Amino acid sequence: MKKILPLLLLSLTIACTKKDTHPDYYGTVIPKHPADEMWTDAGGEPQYMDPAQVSDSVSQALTDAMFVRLTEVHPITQKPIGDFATSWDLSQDGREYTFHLREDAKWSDGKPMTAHDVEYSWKRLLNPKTVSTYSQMADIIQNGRAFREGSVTVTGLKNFDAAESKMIQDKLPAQLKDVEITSDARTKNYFLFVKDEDAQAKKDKKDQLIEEINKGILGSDIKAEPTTANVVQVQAKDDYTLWVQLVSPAPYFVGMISYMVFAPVPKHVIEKFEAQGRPELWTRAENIVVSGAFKLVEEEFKQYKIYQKNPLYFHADKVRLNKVKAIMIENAQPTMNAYKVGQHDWSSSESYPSEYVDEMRKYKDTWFYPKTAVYYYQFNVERKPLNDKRVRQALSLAVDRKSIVDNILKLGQIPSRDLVMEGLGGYKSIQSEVYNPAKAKQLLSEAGYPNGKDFPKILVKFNTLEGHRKIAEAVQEMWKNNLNIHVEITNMEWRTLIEDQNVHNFDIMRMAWVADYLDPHTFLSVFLSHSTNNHTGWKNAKFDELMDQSDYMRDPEARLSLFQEAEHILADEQPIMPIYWYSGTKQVKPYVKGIFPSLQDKYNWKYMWIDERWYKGVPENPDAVPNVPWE
Amino acid sequence: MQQATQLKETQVQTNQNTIVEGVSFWQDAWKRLKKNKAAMISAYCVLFLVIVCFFGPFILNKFFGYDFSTQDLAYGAKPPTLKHPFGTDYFGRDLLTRTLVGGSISLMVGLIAATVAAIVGTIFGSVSGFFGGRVDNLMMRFVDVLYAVPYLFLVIILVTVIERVNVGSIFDPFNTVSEVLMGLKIFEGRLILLFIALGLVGWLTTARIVRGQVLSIKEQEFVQAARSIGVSNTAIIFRHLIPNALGTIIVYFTLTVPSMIMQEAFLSFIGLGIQPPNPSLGSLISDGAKQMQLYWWTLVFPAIFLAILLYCLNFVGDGLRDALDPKERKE
Repeated sequence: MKKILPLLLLSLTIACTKKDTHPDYYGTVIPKHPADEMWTDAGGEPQYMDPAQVSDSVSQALTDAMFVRLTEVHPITQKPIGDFATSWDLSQDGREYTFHLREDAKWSDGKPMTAHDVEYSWKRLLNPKTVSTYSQMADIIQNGRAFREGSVTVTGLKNFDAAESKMIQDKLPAQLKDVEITSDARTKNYFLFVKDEDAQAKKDKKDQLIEEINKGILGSDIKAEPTTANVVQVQAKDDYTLWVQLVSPAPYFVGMISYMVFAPVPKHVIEKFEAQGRPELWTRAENIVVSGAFKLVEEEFKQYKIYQKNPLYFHADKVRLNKVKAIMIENAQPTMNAYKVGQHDWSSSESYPSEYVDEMRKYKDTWFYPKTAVYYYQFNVERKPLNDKRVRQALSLAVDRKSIVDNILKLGQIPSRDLVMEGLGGYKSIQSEVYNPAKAKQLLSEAGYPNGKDFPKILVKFNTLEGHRKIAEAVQEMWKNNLNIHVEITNMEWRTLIEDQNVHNFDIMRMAWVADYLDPHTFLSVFLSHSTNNHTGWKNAKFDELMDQSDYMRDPEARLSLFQEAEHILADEQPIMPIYWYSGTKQVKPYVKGIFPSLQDKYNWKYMWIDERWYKGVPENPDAVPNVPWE
Repeated sequence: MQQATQLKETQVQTNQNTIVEGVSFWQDAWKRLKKNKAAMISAYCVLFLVIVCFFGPFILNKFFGYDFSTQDLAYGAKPPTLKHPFGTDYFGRDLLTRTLVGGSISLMVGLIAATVAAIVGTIFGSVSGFFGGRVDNLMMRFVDVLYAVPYLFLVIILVTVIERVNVGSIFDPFNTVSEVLMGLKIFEGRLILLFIALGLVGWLTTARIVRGQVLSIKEQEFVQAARSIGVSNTAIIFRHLIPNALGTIIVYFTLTVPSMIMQEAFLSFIGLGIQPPNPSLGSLISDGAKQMQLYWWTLVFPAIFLAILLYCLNFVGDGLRDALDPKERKE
């Protein structure tokens, strides 16, 4: 008996595991929870749960189901459609939007949700005190930047032309001359942007400027004050109508406001906690008030978060799940194992190391799909030898992107030297030459380094992740082979890397950009001279001008060709070296329905449900699948 | 009485007829070491590994064209074959070449760091022990302070602060040799940092041990004799104290080498050590561990290699300790 018992146990385990697997799928195919529940992979602990502060994909994924936005991205067509806003009107000049909002929307504490909440939320996003890394997106709202950057508002002037700006500039005292002056004729304001690297010095200068103007140096009836939220041109016309004026007719605006930072937040709750002096507490599970399909009810730091269906959500009757559990596992290998044993019903894109791709291809529950994100190396154009564009072109042309994609990544990524991907908002990519070692060699010798001779030592930095290291090693070897130059590569923690990026402490650095909205503008605007996301030090007046023109261009075709023209400049100058366009991979159990490949890798839990019939042996009935999105 | 006298005579006779050579301490130790089978086999093994590590890559490159960094992305990771006895890694690089180059880098790191540790530690320890009193107190507290600094913390700071080290041309000849043999310059970049980091903390224990030895030796008559005829302090330290503590130093040295190799492997394992494409045993094992479910050979071969190397070095160290221990001389 002693000998038989372990055998018996073993065979029992085998029998058990055999039962809930299927040869076409990886791991178990029967959920370990009731059918009204879903377990998902959250990646890691989110940085923020406050919509205005969301900037990374983990925070985005974990807040997505909790807060509705005015628009959402259609999960199948990927076009923006109304959500909290049912419709919107556009003015003749394309700069004024009037959104008509849903009248049956309520916060989860029962208070009605109105246009005033939206106005408050957008002004809060722009408020410097909110400290949102993405607030810059809202600069497109008229006078948004003036409020966000803490400018000085000057009132009492009347012409709002270049001559008047000059007059202001001339009359300012010498130590305060270095200010940027903008104006808004509609609200009859001038905005003076004080510049200084040091925050304290900037504040002092600002105070001094206000004092001087109020003394009457510009005229006795001309007054100055710190810019307040009142000047921001977003306004609730009534409870269910929101009016907003933009700086320029930005066609991507409707898509852009589907991004998390534009989500309306509960003013009454936040103000309550602000009054207590602890504003960050409002996103805790015990305090949070939401507008979306799910509400956070329980959280364990770095372990899991549990969400319960919100019965007051305006589409609550259509939400099929009652509970969602998001489990946090940071590394790829354990995530893969968790999926295998049924800890996750579906897992995110970085769910398994690239070595496993060939293995995973055998299974039907592994998805491969395109994603609007680009992987690139950015050059620090302020440093030698990268200040020479021929060197940058040479480095870029000497990388065999196809080999990297085919042999290392293997996920069907698209090798490319272009920043903006084919078909994004109707865009035709410029199709730069991807690989040409002979030309690269020639360019390098033209730049003064024949056959890599005397090429200075440069360092490639990337954040610690197996995949990035593999690419860096391959690129290093390609440069050695094709150009005979040796570069060093080094990995560092994400936060350290970002710090180094912000102070331009790098030669070459890995980076990626995911589309925030489905328009070429989201990629190209990163490399504008004044963009806070442009860390290459590259500035090009012609590029800026073209991008500026595109903002005012109403004709979609002409607008896209402006983008193309701008990208040609970028491709010629090569401040960055795109390597490939991402492709998403995801593992999704066959019983999970209502989940669709997403270009921006955003998944809305509200559409998802668990199909019991799948594992109970009842054949699928396609008619039973609900309309997505709901009408 | 009669008998006793006779005996004495024969004894004297014998002494006069046969020439008995004096057996020095080192000869004695060597004899005892030779008797220790495990240590001897290990010693030969280490010798063999050293030769293979330093000349293997050169031969592999010459006859098969293998190189530790040349990639064949399309070939990818393949299990061991006749062509590649250790298999290839994810980049299609020959793992045997990489293991050998990695082994030689690990050995270099171990030897250099241990040598630095031995030299600095010996001088520091003997000075401290010899002068005693306040000097001794001060120097040993300094060692204590360094001990108290967390090692890993120190290395991380070092690596972050100093990104690249440019050493002068002193190491050029070494670099030329290593470039011919292995295809890479050893005294460059992060590797130098590794030497510094390991050497920085490695000498502390040696210093303490040597100090202890010196404390006891300096009270012996021959040191007092030397002092009484006016030999300078420096001469006493270098001519009398250190040579007499040499046995301990050597033993400790042989045991430091494997621990330094282990340290290097650990640092490379967590990504602070050697930078790609240069391999070290630690980084190879680290890579292998990440993909062991698919490519077992990338973990198994470097790991076995490291295990054998460490075992042998430790056996040699143990054997030397037994051989040089004065208490064992009675046999």
